[in-house]
Amino acid sequence: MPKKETKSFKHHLEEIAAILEWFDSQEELDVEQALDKVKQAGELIKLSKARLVEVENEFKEIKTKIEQE
Amino acid sequence: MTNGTPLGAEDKVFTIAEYIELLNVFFKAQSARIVGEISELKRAASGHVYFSVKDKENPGSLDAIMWARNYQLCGIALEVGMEVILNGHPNVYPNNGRLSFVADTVELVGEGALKKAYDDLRKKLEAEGVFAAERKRTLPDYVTRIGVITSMKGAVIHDFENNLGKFGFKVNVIDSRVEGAQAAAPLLAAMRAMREIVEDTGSRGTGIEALVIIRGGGSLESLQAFNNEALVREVIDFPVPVIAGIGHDQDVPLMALAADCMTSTPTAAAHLLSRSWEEARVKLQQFTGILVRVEQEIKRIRADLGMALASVLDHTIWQIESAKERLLSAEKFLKLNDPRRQLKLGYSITRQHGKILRSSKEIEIGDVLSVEFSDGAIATKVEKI
Repeated sequence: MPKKETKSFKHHLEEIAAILEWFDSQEELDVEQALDKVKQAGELIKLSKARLVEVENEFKEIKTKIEQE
Repeated sequence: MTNGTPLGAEDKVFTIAEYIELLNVFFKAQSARIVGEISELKRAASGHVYFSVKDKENPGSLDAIMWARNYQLCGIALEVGMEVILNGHPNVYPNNGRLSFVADTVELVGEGALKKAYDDLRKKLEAEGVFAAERKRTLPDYVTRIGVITSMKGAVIHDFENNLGKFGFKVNVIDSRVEGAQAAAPLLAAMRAMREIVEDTGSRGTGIEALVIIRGGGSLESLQAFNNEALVREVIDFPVPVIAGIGHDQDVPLMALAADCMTSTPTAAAHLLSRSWEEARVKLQQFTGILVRVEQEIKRIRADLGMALASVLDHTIWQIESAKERLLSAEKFLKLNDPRRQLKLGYSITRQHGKILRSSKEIEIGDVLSVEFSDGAIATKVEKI
């Protein structure tokens, strides 16, 4: 797995975590900002899920190779 | 004749020549060892030596002849006054009927004379560099084909073979007399036969890689042949390294000094030949031990790697699952906090010029507002507040 993509995935997770924290910290919800954050988090979750599927497949391949050796 | 038996038929009349010939056939079979002091001596140009030996105690003298070949081989410079033992047989010279003792070998009598001859020859050969270490050849490692010259009668050959070890040696033995001065001729013949074997590297491939000359211990007198100059020179000219395993008391036999490798016993000579094989066997054992240890280490490392790998795989699975859970949880959280969910429940968002209105105080009659529902938006005008 290339290092750059690992960082990127990690970064996405951190951004998602930051958005969730933002929701938790709002005493009075700003609907417009909330919508933006939901959209932004949705995109990040979508990208992360796709990357996670790639990572999982890559991992399965590596595991199969190792078990065959 | 010694028992009164006539040499020829009683009625037969012999010519002088026939009779002398008959006598010489008889004399040829009368080999003896005789001791006496050399009284006269003449060396002919041909190399033959003519001399007289006389009895030290009683009246008695014999003419003697030593042919050049035997004289060269004996390695002793005969001189008047020397006490010697001659080995040979009588012979009548046909031309004058004179009886002479034909000596095949000659030995010095007494340790003192032997010692002096030994010392003189040793000094001479040393001066020539015959015993020099630089001249000696190294015995190759892992020799397999060996020539051995020894007497098959004694225990020596058995000791030698028993101590060689089981390394697949091919031993070519030539039996030779090894006792006394008379052993010089058979030893020389044996060495020459061995030389032919060395040089026979043809289709049979029987050439030998080293020659071993062995015999048990003995006095200076019994080892005389091994101090023979002709044999010493044969040793240094021999085409492959020569190992001498000749037991001795004090004076090291000159042949042993000239040999490429000198051991004090036949057993030691055998050990010298088997040493490289023995060392190889020990090394092989050590190497086998190392191989076993390496194999064990590889197994251990493989087991460690297997465990490490299993741990890495488990950890990776855990991380992937953990990431999945975090994403799922985030999705649920966002669904709950999505303002659009409120719209579906019947709430709406009112905006003026794109800005969300949070209070009726922000609007006036106549303002045009946009109201967003879950499935779309409408424009509306304020008529009453």
